[in-house]
Amino acid sequence: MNDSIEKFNSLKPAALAALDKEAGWSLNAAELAAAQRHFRKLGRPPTRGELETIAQTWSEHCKHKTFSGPVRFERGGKVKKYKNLFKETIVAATKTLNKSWCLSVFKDNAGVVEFGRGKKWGLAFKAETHNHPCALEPYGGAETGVGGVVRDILGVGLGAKPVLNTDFFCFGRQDSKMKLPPGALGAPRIMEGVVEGVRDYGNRMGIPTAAGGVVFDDGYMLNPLVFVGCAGLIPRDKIDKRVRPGDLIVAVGGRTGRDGIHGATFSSADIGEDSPSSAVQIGHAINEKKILDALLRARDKGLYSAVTDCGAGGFSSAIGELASDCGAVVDLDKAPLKDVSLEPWEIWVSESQERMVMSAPEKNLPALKKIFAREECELAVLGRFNNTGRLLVRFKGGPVVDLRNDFLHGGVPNFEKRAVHKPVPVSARPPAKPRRPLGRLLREILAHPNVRSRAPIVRQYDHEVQGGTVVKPFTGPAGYGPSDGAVIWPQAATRDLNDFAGFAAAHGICPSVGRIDPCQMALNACDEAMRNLLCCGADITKAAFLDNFCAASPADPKVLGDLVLAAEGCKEAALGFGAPFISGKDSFYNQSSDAKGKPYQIPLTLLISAVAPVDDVRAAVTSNFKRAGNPVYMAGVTWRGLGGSIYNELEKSGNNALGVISIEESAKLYRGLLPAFRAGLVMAAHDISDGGFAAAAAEMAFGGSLGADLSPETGYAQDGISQAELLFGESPSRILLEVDKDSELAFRSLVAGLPVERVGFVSSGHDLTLLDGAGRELLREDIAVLLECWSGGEI
Amino acid sequence: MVIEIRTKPKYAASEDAALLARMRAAGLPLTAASSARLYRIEADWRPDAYKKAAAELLADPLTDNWMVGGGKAPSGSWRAEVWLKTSVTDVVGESVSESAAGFLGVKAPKVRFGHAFYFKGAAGPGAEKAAAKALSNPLIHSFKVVKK
Repeated sequence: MNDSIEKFNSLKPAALAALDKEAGWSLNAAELAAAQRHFRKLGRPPTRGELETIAQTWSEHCKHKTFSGPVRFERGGKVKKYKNLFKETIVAATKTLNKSWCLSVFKDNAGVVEFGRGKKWGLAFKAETHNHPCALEPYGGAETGVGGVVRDILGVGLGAKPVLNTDFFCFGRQDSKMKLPPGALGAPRIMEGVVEGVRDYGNRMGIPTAAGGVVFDDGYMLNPLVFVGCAGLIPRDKIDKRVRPGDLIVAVGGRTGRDGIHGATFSSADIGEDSPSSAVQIGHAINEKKILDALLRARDKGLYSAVTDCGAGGFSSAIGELASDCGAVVDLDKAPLKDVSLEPWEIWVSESQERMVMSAPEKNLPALKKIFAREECELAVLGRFNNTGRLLVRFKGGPVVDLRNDFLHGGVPNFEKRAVHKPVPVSARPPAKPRRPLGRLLREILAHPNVRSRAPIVRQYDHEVQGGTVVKPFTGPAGYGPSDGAVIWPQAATRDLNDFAGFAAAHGICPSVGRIDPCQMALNACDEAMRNLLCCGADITKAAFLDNFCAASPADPKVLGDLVLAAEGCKEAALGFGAPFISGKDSFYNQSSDAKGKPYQIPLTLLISAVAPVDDVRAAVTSNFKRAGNPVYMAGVTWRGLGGSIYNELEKSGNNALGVISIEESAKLYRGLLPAFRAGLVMAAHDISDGGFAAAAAEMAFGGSLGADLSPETGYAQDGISQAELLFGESPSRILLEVDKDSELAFRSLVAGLPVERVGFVSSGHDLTLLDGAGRELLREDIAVLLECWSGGEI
Repeated sequence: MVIEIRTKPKYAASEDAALLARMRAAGLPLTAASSARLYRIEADWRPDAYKKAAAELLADPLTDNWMVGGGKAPSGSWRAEVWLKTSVTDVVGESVSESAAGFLGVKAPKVRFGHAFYFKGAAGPGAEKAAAKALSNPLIHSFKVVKK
């Protein structure tokens, strides 16, 4: 390979491509040509270190070329052109909303919004994926995914204290009989490893893991999606960071080894049997905890002026990013190594975990050393930032990298990609009558992998550490009811036991809707996240979103077309709800070759993570029924359509239409309900989503160990709607609310004019009874039996 | 030297049941399964130092049994070991190395962490292959059936 690099400037395109494949850079032909032009102009061949640096910096993982690049979108004979898809959709919505409580958006490792009384704090929130590593080695991949997102929170501004980890997974069905290609791990194996990895890292770091979920779908059989998130608190005066020329480049944390080399470029490639084992990273939670403790002490003493984490691309990305507005000289021989046989370029791009890089004034070095030594955390000075506009990297004085910032960060060729939309045929005909009895159907829906209890996963996590998890993953007197989100009281960070300000975190995801209409998927996901926040009692007027897109190769115009529609849906939802996006990530190339060698793509998947303040955590709301005799209301309109529903997986309804969603109407409804929540009139709230009205009612009932007599027909619904759609349809923007019976009049007065209607009462019995509009019984099920089905027992 | 730590039988029921279920799900019709933790320690310690580390550092005296030198499969059973490959960072091994040095007041030894599995029922090359697939990832693990 060294010979090819020596001749790099004269190589033909085919030889460049061969070199790229051999080195594992994942650069495309235009990028290789741009690099070649640059070095021809310099009149010298590149070094391996320079090509590695370019590959890391220009990787999809680091540069988000697809989302931030130009796109030509073709739909129904019309063409729309985007210069920068991300800026024109998601960022545009945030700019238009221009919320004063957004303190840092799209420019740092995480988004930051205002938090708490007195405006002393910022709440940083970030979610990202670690899909490719988890497909190769689920435990290590998940561990390091958590470690990475925690470091993002440590590296936002001058460092935030993590107070919540979130997790959301998309796995293949555990009972799938699909034949796997050689080398692929089975779905149970992947799930087990991922859950253990998330558990071990979060638990060992002392960060509660809550607010998660799982989707099972065979589309993820070869490419699991592992979304990990972290929220942290940062003093408001520590949000800004600035690298100062003259500052030392200080690396802290773990030693550099061969693990994780080419992780960033690997994420720009399909997964196959020949995927590199070196892309596997191994996490060490205790080392990261040491960094956390030392870093926050150094932050509070003002010992450094900027910090970032060593993530994908290792030092090359971290130092390259910090030096992007100034310049730097780096001496790699100063880096502590696990393996002294590493080549200089390997030290530069290694993604060994648990490392952070700081920009620190030289005068503060003794104090920094003292703080990190106290935690037995290694610290090394690797060089100095300057204002040359160049990144100069040396090893024992010899050149490793000498690149100008303008080329490294601005030289990636941006070519227009083609996107097309191919609509999916939709049938809106009345659904066929269910073959099963309705009671049996409800039991099967509750036992469905996408509805049933997540206890086997959730119970492995420590969601109590730090003592601030107010709404936990399960609620109710016996802890049987599923929560819509987590409510956190971050007193471990604020150290103020008299301030009861907290925040709620929740998610929205609906890939099954995306298979029918990607724009509707985005609207539904944002709506679901917003609804979940409201159900926890959060102030949704200050909700903020994170987007995490996962897709197959964007070189496929259909994949990119779906992405365009989803991004437009995000923009529409953000503007409609007045909820800005504050950060996000994308992950492409989630595709593999199946056992027959054919491309196997994941369905386009969008996870919306959302946070909103809870002014007083003591008034947070949970989903379980609280008191017999209380009236139950349904907020929202049930629309016709069973598209994307669990019901459609069990019954052949012949209808795949999607329930209508109007963000304008949803926003009006949720804002209209807020005064009732604030007045303490809502005793319980649960969003109607997977499994529809019947499943939501069952979860509220067994969560509270109380029965209920409910009639969905008495709620607002579209004319001509069928019984199946009323009971099991998943039309969006609906919530079930238990209202304090002594305050029902006040509640009705507050929600007057909104599509909110009483659908029944909580009962002291042990049955959930669902009735038609005339009061005839449709189904009656013992809530203990429903709980058993939901918990994985006999149906 | 390998130190093996096994949960005492009276506390191991749920661990063993989970392993058995996992192996059956992988297609192995076993009748019994259990596991143990392994620590391979490369050091020039005296024999009693290994015993002290096993008894007082690595095993819980209430819930665990320990043995120095590794276990042996009883008659009618077979035993497999899964270790991280030497090129893979072993965070448990690192922690044990540091704590052993502190505990015994010696130079930090080289420690690697692994697992041993004991199976009764299905045996032979097919079963071993299925077990390897279920319990190890060839990217980072080495899997071997130990016959003594």
